[in-house]
Amino acid sequence: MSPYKCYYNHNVGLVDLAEKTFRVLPLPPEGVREHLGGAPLNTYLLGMYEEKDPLVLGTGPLTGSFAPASCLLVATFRPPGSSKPAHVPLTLRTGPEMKFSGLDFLVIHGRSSSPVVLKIKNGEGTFAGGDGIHGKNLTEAQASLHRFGEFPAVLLAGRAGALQVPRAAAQVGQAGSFDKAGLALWMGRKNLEGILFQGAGGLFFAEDHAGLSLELGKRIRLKEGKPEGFRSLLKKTGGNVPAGDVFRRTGEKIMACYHCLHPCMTRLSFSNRRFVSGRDKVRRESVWLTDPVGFAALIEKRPADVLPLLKACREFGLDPQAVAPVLNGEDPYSDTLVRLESLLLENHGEETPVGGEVASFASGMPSPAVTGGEEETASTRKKMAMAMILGICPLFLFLVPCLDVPDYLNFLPKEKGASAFYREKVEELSERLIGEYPFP
Amino acid sequence: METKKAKTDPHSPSPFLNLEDLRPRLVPRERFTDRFMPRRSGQLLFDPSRCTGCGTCEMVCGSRNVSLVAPASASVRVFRDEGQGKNFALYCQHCRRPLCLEACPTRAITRGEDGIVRIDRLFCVACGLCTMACPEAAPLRDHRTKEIHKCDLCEGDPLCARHCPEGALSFTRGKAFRWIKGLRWTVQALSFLLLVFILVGTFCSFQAGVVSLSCPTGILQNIASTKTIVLTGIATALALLLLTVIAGRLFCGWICPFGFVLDLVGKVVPKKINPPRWLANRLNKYGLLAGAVGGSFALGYQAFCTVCPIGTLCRSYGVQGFFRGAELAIVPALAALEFTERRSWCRYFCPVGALLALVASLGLIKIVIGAKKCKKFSCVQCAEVCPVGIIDGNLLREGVSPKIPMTECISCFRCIDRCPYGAAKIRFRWQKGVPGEEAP
Repeated sequence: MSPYKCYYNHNVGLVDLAEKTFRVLPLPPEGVREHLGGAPLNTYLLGMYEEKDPLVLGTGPLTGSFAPASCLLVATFRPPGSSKPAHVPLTLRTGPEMKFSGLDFLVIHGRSSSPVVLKIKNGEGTFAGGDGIHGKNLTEAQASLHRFGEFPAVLLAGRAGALQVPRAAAQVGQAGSFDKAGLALWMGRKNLEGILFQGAGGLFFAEDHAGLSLELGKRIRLKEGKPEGFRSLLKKTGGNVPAGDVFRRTGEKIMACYHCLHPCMTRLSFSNRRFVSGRDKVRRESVWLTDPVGFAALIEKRPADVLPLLKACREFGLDPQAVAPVLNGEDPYSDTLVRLESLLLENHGEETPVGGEVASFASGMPSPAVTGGEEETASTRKKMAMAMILGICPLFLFLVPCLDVPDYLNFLPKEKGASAFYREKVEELSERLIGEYPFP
Repeated sequence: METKKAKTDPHSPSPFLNLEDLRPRLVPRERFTDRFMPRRSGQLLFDPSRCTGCGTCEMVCGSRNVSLVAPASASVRVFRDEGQGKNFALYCQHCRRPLCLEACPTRAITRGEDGIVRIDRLFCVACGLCTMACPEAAPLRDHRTKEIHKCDLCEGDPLCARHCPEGALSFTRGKAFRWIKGLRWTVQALSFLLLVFILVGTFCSFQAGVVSLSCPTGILQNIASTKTIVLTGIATALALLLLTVIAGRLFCGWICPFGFVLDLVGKVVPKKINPPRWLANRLNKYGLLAGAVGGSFALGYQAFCTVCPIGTLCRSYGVQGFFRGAELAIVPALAALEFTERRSWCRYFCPVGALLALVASLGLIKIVIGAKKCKKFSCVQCAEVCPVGIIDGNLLREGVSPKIPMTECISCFRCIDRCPYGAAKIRFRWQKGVPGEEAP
């Protein structure tokens, strides 16, 4: 048995949007041996289908396992005009659900003639018409998706993505995403409205993995204290972000991705009393806070109405970081909302994303430089690169300094010689990622 | 031509083997001590406010069921509502009278002495009838293996509770000591001793130092019979009325010596007789109160006091009591009503309780039960322990919070003491909302 058998199903799904076909191919063993998984293996697969301009969705060896925050699915594609592929980390349950469905990697190429939704369920890929969600706001699109059944993980191009707006960002359910590299644009360009994931399978694990996970959980609680959700991210990333007022008179609910032991997402409910006009109904609305970079950009420009604007960005499928520069801080809220909606009508046909950094091995992640000194920054950067290889949420490792690379290597095979091999391989691949994609 | 159906004697032995011969139904053995000290069985508690939806419980449970990291094969399932920001865990409640057990055609489901409801894999044919019969649909079908999985509390140490990072799932063996119950029995016993054996005089009117206390119903009859209002007499009755305004009919639940006798008798006698509907009417007691006052007015003496079980108990059974032949029979005669329902006398007939009920309608406190907080449709322990039967268990099963009429409630607080989910609470009368349904 291959030492990698434990962690992969060894299947790659090949999707041709033009022909509406789905095939399952074996995962190239030499690719796994050389690149392990995540961003490096995605790049390898991207190279194999380079001429078809594909999108590769890939898991890491630890995705879906007992390793804490093993929720990652890496989306890799080549943005137009860029020499390097872009890697977008997708969280919540996308990675595990794809792996449990029997696929480790998904290579999507071709262009559909009409809007289409791809359903990945139990190792099979099927297509459904995407007209019902094309150009729809997030809430409406999600309501339309219910007719396809229960899918625990959803990736959507969003309204802006479907309309090819350069400031578009893909959406992972209500939580948004860290897409600042043009994933939504890629999906919109190929008429791919969304990808739904559901898996009922399972992964092998070693006997001590559950215990290891429990021990790590205890250590995190001891060192980091009680999780504060998005607040803890704000504390870490933006000491000068005036977020204190945002949380006043709001209902906070901390939400977590798959097996996350120190959650960083918060679902905030707030009254829209100050923002409604005319016949609009006063009610409580909610928004998920997940993207610290986008939040920081938006709150700097519009501190008073950051929450409804963030919600509007989610609904329209826009990236808050890209949107913030074009907003006027002095305008009333209603005018700003109109301005946001007008962005959906602008710049059709442009293919490069605006605002975000394309050349990053983890799009949308906060810069490790905010963590402190040079040594700590280098360590954080290395941990985030390792996360993108092994299939761990990079934001989790950014937030939890008490976990380090060796803690995760314990979840990899421990056969004779395997530990050293993995340690060296992870070291080598993370160095390569850091070298190729320097953080700002 | 009329055809006659052959009548079969259900007690005659069938010539064929049936399920009873192969697997006789297990009848739970009831011990006499269960009436006084119910056996405690383990219970898994879920706190939705703490759940982040990370799915660690599903992971560890699935790993135990199928030796894979396979959340879809778990016996606990987390439902995530991204829009509402709510997570809800579904798992077996190990009902005291499990419907799945009744529904299973192969008797594969059994309830052990330890209170754990288990599926015997040897006999389960995965027909899924248990899933349909269960009000929570807790037996879950594994879509991979098509087997039915059901929580067995990991034989007393549930992995899900051990691994839950936020403590949303916890395991308890029930409250070791229900302090309200202990306190109430102590107070009841002391009151009984005080009123029946120690204090000279009766509950109807006694003086302890400078403090004079009287039964308000007795005072009312006294006024009616003598046609004279004695202010000092009214003042002595005010103490009990004031207590009722502050804490409801606390007297009935905690102090009344006859109530104590009824509670003791109710522990022993079985409930075998169904009272006629006209007799089991809660308005009867108000009729008796009116009759007592009217009778006293007409007869010129306190008509009801002569047969009042509380007064009789104090007068005739104490060490200083003067035994009167016929009076001795009143207490046992009325206590025999316990053969019908618990506290039948208090529910339907007691004029003292009727007067206190009228005052309790002005009370400051109320008891609220939040169906959303308890969410355990098969529990309804609050309805079962209520001695005056005012909690509608059917409403709770439907997920509706029942309204507790404080005029009928005897403030024994058994419901609060018993509820394992903290869904029953004392609130001020003017406070809105019930546990689990408060405005965010």
